[in-house]
Amino acid sequence: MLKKSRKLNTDSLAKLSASVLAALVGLLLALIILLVCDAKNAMPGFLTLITGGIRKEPLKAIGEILYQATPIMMCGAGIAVAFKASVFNIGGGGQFLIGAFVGIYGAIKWEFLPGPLRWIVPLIAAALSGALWAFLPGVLKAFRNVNIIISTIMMNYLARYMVNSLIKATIFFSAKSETQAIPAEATLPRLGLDKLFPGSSANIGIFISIAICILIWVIINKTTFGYELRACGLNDSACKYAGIKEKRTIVVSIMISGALIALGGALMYMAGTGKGIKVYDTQPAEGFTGISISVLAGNSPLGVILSALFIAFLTVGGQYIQSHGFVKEIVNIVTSSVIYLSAFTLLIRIWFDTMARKRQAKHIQHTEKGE
Amino acid sequence: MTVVYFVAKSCLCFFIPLLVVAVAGLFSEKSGVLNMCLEGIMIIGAFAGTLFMHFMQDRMSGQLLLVCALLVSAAAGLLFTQLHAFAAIKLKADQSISAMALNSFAAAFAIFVARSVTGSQHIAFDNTFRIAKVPLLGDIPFIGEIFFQDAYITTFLGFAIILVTIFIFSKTRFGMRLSACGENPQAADSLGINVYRTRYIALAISGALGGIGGLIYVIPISPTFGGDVYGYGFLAMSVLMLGQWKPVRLLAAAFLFSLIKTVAAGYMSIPFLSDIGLSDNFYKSLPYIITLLVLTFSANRAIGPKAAGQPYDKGRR
Repeated sequence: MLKKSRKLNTDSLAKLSASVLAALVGLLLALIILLVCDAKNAMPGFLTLITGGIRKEPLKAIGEILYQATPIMMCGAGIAVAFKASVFNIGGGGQFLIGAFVGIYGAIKWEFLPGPLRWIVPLIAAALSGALWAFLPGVLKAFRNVNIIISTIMMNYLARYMVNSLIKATIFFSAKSETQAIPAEATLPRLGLDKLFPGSSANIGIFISIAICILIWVIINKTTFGYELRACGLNDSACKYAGIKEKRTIVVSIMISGALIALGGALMYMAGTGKGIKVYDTQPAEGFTGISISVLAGNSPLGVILSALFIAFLTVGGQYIQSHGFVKEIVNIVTSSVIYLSAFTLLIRIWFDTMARKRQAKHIQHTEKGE
Repeated sequence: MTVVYFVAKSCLCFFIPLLVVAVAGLFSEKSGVLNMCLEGIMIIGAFAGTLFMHFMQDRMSGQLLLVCALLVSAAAGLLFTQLHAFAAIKLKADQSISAMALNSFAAAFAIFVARSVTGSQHIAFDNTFRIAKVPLLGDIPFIGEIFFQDAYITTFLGFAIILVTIFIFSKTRFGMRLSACGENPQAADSLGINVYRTRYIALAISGALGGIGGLIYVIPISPTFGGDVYGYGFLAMSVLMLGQWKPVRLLAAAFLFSLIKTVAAGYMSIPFLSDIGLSDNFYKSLPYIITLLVLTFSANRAIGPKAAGQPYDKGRR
């Protein structure tokens, strides 16, 4: 028993230190790139990046971080759920768009709904649409053995073109070539956060996201379904042998994943910031950001809360860095280096293991001498 | 006739890069390393090549510039792929995660550097590489018109690459050894083949070809490069699956995909298609829908190299 708990501790410790190390090295890389680009402005720019703009406008920046963290937290949680079942969901971009469209559409068109249902029902509809969109690659993987990475990427492009057509057919605002604005009564409640953090777009979304992350943690760690999910992720043939329906688990896990990511899309666009879905051909970045967040959190839904806040912190910092004459894509460079560097997790874990073994050996030697 | 000519011409524009990048994937996966970062490699290759052309086009021009740019793309792709090789071979990391990270890194890096260096996300270059007519060969009816008029040397390079690849995998010791590392690395190792080294070499080739593929893709279709190859690397992966990891079949698979791509991009110029009146978004979706369909009906049968995606651990021999 003692041995097991120690093993667990080294494991999570290794994961944690790998994440922190990955984040630090990612930041270091950003600093190097800034130095190469413009040595004179590099240091002030870097300081702005790592202080998340809090130095400049503290309250607004905090509110913005909460607002920015909301959608990417949902994306991270979605990716993490799928990862637990060893399903690599790259379809975040598409699921995000579908959810965003359904959310905006519901908020604009469903005027018959009373009171708070005006924003609650579109959110639920968005989540369901995301689950439905993710159903197809799940089924293709489970029953036709189609590589889920490729199928979800194809679905991303399909989602983009489909949403473009749908927007043009229904809720198009041609002057800005994007979706129409959402009526005030259908936007997400601010809960006084706009007074607490003036000038920011913080709203109820952040609480919803955090609550869902905790819920997902409970489902994964404390329920039979969660157990099956993790078992399938570790060894699917053993799973089959044990009588778990591994095909169903794959499909359900990616559907939950799609639902969460789609909900993230709806939460982002229903915040009432006046931001609409643009009709153009590029993919929303949130799907990929979700991957960084999940990997950085070691695929733990609770860790996702922290890592989403961290990435949001950098994103807000990245917005302020533009005043130093740098391009905001620097944030993407940091996040992708973070994912790449998390490959080092294994290396660090091996290192921790050897350390623990050495310590144990020493301990045994000691006790032997003592006797 | 002009329609056939137009379709054949634009088909070729899509066919060559798709083929080259699929071959890039082939080298990597045959050796046992999944290469899902073809997209990123293409971006880096196209980025390095176009940036080189952007700055050097005043000093040299025409075919010399193109050849130099291709070399730069190959070198950039090769170096970039070493990051994947390091993670996949040395660190034994999850190959799809490392690849996805590199994909997003490539896009961010290309846009960031392009904006910082040229002031715009889109790197512009002058296309001075078209050969109006190859003497003699250009006079052959039909074939001459398609292949040897308004041609790029990259077309011939593409065909040369696939021929050499077919030769390598069917006739050379290196090709056999490379395949052995992807099928059964333990057995390969026991026969004295250095699995790690072979995989590093395979990925280097893969990176160089992927980089070249990125530049070949950009040159005929656009005068600028904006940091995106629109899922082309992933289409190439589907070509690889459809072609069942066999060099000769890749030709047929790449041809099928380039035909679809041609229809999607140029349906306005094809009389009976533009008459149907389906929406632009439908045609844009077509290549992706077909890919899904093709995979649905072929993935169960398409069994790639057995050890692809598994890090090789010498201790498990």
